Amino acid sequence: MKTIELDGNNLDLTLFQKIIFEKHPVNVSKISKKKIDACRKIVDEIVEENIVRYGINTGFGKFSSVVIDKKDTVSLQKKIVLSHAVGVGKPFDEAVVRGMMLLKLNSFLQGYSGVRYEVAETLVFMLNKNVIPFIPEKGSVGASGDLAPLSHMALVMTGSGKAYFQNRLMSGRSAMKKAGIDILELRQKEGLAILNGTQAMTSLAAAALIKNETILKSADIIAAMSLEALKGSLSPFDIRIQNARPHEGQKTTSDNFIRILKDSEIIKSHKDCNKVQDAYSLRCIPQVHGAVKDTYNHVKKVIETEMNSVTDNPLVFDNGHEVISGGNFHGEPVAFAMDFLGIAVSELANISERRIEYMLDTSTNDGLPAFLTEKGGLNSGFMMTQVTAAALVSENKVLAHPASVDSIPTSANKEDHVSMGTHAARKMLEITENVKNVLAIELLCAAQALDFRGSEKSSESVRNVFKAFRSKVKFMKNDRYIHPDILASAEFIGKGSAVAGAEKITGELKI
Amino acid sequence: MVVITGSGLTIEKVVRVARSGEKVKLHPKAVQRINVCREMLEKKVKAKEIMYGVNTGIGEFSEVVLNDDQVKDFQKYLIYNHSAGIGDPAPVEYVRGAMLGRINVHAHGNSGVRLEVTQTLVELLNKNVTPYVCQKGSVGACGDLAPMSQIALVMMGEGQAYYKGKLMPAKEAMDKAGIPVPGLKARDGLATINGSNVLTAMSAIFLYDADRWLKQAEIAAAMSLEALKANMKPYTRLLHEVRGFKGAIRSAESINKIVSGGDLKEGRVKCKVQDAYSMRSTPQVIGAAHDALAYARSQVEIELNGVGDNPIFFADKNMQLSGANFQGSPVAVPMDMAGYCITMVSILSERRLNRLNNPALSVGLPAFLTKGAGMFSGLMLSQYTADMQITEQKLLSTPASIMSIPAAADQEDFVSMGMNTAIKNFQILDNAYGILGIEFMAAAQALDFRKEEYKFGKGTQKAKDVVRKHVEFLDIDRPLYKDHTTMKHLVRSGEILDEVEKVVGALDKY
Repeated sequence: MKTIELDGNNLDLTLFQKIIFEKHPVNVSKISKKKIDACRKIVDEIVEENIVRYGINTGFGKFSSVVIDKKDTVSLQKKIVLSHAVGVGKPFDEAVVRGMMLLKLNSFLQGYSGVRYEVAETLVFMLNKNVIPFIPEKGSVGASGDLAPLSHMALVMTGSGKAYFQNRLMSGRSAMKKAGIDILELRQKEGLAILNGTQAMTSLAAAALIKNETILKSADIIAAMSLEALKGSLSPFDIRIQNARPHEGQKTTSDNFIRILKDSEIIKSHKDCNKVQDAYSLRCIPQVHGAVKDTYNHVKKVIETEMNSVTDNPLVFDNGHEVISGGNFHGEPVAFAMDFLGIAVSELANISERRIEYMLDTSTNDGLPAFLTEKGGLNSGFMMTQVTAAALVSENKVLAHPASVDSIPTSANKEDHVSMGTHAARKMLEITENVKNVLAIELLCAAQALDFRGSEKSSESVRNVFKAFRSKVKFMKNDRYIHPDILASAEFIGKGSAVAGAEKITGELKI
Repeated sequence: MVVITGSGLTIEKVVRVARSGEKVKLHPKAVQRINVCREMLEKKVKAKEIMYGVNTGIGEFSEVVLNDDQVKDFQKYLIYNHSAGIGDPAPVEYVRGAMLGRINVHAHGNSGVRLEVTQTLVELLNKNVTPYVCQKGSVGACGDLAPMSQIALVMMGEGQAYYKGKLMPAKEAMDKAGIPVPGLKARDGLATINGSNVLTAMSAIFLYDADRWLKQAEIAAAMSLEALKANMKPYTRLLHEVRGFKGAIRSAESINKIVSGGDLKEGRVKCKVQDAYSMRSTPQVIGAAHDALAYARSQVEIELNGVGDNPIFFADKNMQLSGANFQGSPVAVPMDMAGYCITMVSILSERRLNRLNNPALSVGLPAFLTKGAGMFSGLMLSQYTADMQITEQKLLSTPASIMSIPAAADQEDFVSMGMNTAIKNFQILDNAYGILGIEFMAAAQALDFRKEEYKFGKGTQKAKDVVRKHVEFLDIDRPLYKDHTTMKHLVRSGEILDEVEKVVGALDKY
């Protein structure tokens, strides 16, 4: 597998996906190594000459005015890691932890953090050998960055804490030893440089964006199937309407639909029917799915910027031993972006649930059997799937409440405004799971409805998705245990099978 | 006349005094208790005993001891710097309710206030002088400091007040009403302001209004149920008794009373085996709201009759204690719940409105309740109006009691935000009047389409007649905003409720 070279500026979602999920190895560019070495030299000189600089030879946070004796500056780093490892709860997934290590590594590569090259290299080794620190998911208020989660990572780098290696949880020291990675003894500034930063929330955010890329495209494909199933009209997707209100996402969405449905016999068959207007959940898809896409793209820009940012504090600049303390660890940019994306993606499920209802209800579904089942009464068909969808949509409404508007002062009011961005990003992933499951239910219903309509008359791309889906989930002739079908449908979407099935015919769908 | 004893104050009495202008009088025993307590306090002042808020600064400044000269001026400055409210004035009834609550606190004889101060509050109520109080500015701990301070200003002959409906300088209002200005001496300032009396009075008034609204929600439900040919078996008392919630039993019985005497109740109209939840589970939902309101009432009435003050003086033990009885949380928490119960019941009302409008669900009623479909849209847009109000209610249903922001240099580092609860509860209720008015209008319209077909219950018929006194049958489309607004006022007035109760008996007796 190709090794990916990092330089502190070149990370994007595509590379993130390759490194985190496909496990491409990484290395550090030569120029980055030079920058790191040059920066460390400044720190060493400061230490040597006994110049007082925050984070190098002072206490932290509220204790920043306490000057630390030269002989204690190394033990200071050990103590900061220990005292900040205060997380609680279940551990983060492997992918999130790998993302944190990658992002922390990348942030060192611009050479402003004052760590030795060995510190960066340790992270390179841990990524490549897949040593996964045990990091509890709760405990960060998102400023000074993700202190608690990153401390748990630093514990393993320094040979304590706990870590997974080859899928087994063990002491951090054994994990490092088994992987053949030397344990670090942190020098001045290094503890703080590892702890300070937004890597947990940004890693969660990147994972959320990657998952939602598939979800956004799948939502278009599944809604197109519902449109066929409900004998909806394609004319609201006419490009002239979108040009008159030129939001990018709106145009992209209608373009996707036209490509997915262009040769649909079902759509053609009722072109001149007497239904003048469809309900909003069909007719306003370009506007709603489009606005979600616009939001996604805005958020992606923010997160990709953050992925190439230096978010620790203070930063060391080369001329004149300057160590400047600012607030790059403050997670507000990520917090806003995650709250906003959470709201947007929730809407995909909200409108999807309405289409599910539309397909199940005989007063709206244009001749399909009630709850999409034969022998209604004896069978209840898909009746209860809408209930599940409604429960998930309601849960999302609560989760969509912004985390970023909350702030609780910490650290004796020194850190008196915090971002709560890690919570925003965590709940974003919960929202994402719920949305995927609602779409899974819409897919189940749409496929069942197309069986009643005669799926051979669907467009070629829908037929292709339908065929792949039916190899996983069969037509439901009589009531059966539906839960496994919902799981299979969600897995079908999550693995990108709906997208692959459609794109094989249409070419790449756009976001 | 309400006699104030320090106990037995109910939300009904608050409404009678605050809204209807009933007069009040201090019980002689209360007068005695106030005097005994004050005597003890004055002895301690003479003995130069250090007492918080009497001869010390307040809040973060509680360690600063004041000399004799300063004690006098301190009362004035205390009230000045706490009169920190902002914006529009609170309605007169909230301020009257707050004064009543404060008198009842003093009546315990634990506040160390001079009798003149309490008696002046009595006079203000009886002679209809109402201090001008800004609605916003309280975080609900140390009580409602800012709004109560604007009442205290009037006690010094400062600030503004309403007299006979006119706003004027407080001194002028006091003179016209013939009330002497008592001034504030040691302890009087804090004893006047240090309690959550405004938010408690507002909550009491809200609970009274919300109960009347819930009864009307039952009447509207009964009308819609008759128009939609509901199966009335789910309203059988036994069904609710076996589950055991009082509110549900009450609600089912109320609806039974309203529909009794009609063909539907008597089983002469064909209905479905099982109806949708919005038709079938009214007693469980409105009943849950009754139960929640009952709990909220019990908490509010404890607060109305308790000593919400600080510090507190115990004359019989020659002792004073500083605590935090001003903290508004005991009221804020149940009131957050009371508020969102109104939202919940409004959501149920909107669902019935939807069924009346939607021909797939309305068992033969014309689509959108108009017989001129296409040319006319009937009540199609009324649902939009209901829906936007419900969304506003949902936004307002986020609890305020979890929103604490530390104040006063972290000395007051947890506050109840009960004032926000009280304010937004009235906003929720305001929307609820509008939503229910629209259901009443739609239900009356639907019943008009059914009236040749079968006979309605006595209460239903009466409610429809009252609606028809104000809003005509929608034969051809007309601008709806006037009807919507008329209906909202009608629900707020309670006329439908009063008329229906005359025919079927009290709706809360079961």
